[in-house]
Amino acid sequence: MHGYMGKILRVDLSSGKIQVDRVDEETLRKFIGGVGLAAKIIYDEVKPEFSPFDPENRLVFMTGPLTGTPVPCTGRYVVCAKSPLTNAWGEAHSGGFWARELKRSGYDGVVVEGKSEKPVYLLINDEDIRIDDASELWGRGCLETEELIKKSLSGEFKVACIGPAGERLVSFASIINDEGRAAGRCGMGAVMGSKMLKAVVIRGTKEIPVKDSDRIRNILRRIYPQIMSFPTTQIHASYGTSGELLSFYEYGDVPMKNFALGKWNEIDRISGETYNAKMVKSKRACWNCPIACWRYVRVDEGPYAGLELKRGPEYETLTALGSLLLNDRLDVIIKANLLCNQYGLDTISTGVCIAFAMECYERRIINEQDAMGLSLKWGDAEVILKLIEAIGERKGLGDILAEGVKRASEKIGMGSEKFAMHVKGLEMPMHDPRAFTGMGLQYAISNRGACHLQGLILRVEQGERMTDLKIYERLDRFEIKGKGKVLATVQNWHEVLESLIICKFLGIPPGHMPGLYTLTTGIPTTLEQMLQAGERIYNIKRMFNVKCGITRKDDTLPYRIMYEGLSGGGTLGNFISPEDLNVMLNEYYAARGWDENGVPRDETFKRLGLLET
Amino acid sequence: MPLGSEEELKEDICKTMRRLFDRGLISALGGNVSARLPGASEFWITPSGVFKGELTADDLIKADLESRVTEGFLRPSVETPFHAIIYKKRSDVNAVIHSHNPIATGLALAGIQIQPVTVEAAVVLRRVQVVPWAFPGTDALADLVGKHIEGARALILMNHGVIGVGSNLLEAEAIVETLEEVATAQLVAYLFKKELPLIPEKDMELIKRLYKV
Repeated sequence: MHGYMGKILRVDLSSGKIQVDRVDEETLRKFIGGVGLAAKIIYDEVKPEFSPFDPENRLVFMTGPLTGTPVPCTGRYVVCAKSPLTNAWGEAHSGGFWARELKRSGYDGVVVEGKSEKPVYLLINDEDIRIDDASELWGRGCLETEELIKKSLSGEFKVACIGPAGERLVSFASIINDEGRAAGRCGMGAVMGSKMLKAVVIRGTKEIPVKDSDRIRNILRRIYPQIMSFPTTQIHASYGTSGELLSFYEYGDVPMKNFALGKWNEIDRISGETYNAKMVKSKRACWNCPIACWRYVRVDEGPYAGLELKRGPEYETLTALGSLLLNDRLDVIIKANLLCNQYGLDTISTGVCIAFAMECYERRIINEQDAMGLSLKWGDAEVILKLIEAIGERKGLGDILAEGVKRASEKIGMGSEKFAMHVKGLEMPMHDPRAFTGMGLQYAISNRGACHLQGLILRVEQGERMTDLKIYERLDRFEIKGKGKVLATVQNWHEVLESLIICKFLGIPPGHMPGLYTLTTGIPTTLEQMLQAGERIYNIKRMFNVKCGITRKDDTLPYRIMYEGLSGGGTLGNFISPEDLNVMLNEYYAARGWDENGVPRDETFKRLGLLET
Repeated sequence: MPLGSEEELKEDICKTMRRLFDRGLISALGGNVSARLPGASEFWITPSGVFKGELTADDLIKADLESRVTEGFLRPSVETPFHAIIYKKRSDVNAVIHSHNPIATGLALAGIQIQPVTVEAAVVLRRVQVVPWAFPGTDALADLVGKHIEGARALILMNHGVIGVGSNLLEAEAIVETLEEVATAQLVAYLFKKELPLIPEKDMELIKRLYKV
């Protein structure tokens, strides 16, 4: 077998049993690897009645066939489980070096089940696999945990761990690896915490078998002039993801004041240009990445002078902890990012929850007494930092917010549900769908809830053609019709990317992937077969959600997006009414072969070879 | 020319690419070449996005007349659809070159028609039509090329490049090369003079009447 290690490690924390599962080639052909293989495992093994914190929930870490190969930008992993935010499908992705290490230890993935009675960490040192006591680490921050573990072991180990937020089952707790890379979304850190698993620590020394690495290198060398010319790749290389902030702002895509403001005079203060000029000290890259979108940052002046972050804020963090809260101070964003990394909190969900609290306060739904004596004023640095701590510690108002904005708004009530910005329970990412209606459909329909990455249809709405996927025409960003089929296509493609696993920031066109996959694995594959695998993966996740009770009623958007247009700014007052959303959903369901309730039809499952699953 | 094997054809495609690259008619990222054995329903085409100056035979992709890949690993040229449509419409054509001739493309941008300034220009190129803008790699562009290719040996694609076709690769190469030669001469002439001294009518009668140049 090439490309794959052919083995998946299965760890039962209840019994302490460790076993190795083999993966057959037929399954790999159907689900590729990465998120596809994780979806198959979870669909088969996690019953709908299991709660996310049930020991029977599975936490699946997975690499892909391209992970750690000569193909660039393949240092990422995916982690999946039933999500405590949505009670349905959950997945999160992260870059760095940990994924390659996992694969080099001899495994394509790790499935964690059961629950330990005491805090433990999983140590994978090639064949030597142990479940070690983590009592001394419990309660410690992620960055500190990583440092302590590395100090205690001889040799080069990579660490993915949770912080106090995961231990306390904060619904949007993240998993942090490689000194600040985050598998942020969907509360995977909380599922890890529920199993009392503090960290997965790996050292791998095996060769990853590649069918024809010389040929791959030879091809890659010659496609670099094109892939590095991809516009977003260039911007990410120059500025990191923050380089798109002002461009997104012009579209009205950057959320401000909990998605209630169309223009903000301070936006330049957190732009990629300002950030790079004032805070960024150097560029860093994940394993084998020519783009290097990470930014090493240091605060030179003010109350946080001397503060350094090896993985500085990305676009989503700059906006979720910046413009969304009307916070125009980069030093505060960096400090807040550090706190989130230490507690192990998703910066997007954290920002949305704090914005929600601030709006509750502004509307006098809550007062100082409810908020630990704090005046929750927009942009207030102290408030932002204290609320992050309160969420991480689950104290006071933080304990309510720690449940995620959906449940927090249900608890607080008084109409606050109308400005709780989430879909299916997952907090909205930092792209306002009123700027790109296709993103509205994408948020409404995505399996993990409000997801900006599964499809990235806004690129087509910005004018990118994807001729390999037969997307020839630009979609008007405010148009409602014509988006369903295109979204289904780009979502299928993104399932392929997340299964292979390769970073979306690299502009390798889809047409090159079958060749790279074939030369890596020795399994001949066409683009059509890959796209069908993507469709299969998308559908199996949807069916998992259907079994968890998700139907058309859940494929919706926050009230604010459906009823409130913004005055000023690039959205030009656009909003996506329920009627508009219905038009898009009908078109989308038809393109997917789902019934009017959003359930995959039998013939769709049959066509995709899923009926026997 | 005797009928060669597919392997020879693939080698010839790569040689053509290298010559065009060395001449500056195909750039590192722009341009593509395809060819088929006479009468074949499939053709070999260069890959997309792979540095054009160093292509080897095992980089090529085989596609059918519906643009479906039947052999090869790499991403086929995004312009495969217009290559396919030309082979579909023109059974006499066995080689298609899409090059990025800078001067011919530039003249079209300036709204200047290719004129029969040399005998070769008239004889080799016939009448060179300009295909209106369509986004590269789309079916829309392929349809437009299909509409203009009847009776043509060369076309200019607005804001894009040129197409030359032939019964074999050398013929198609001669077309795009001649087109650039003529365009360059025309450009130089325009730099110094507004009216071009065309070849006397009596020397061009047959060609002009046949080709309507």
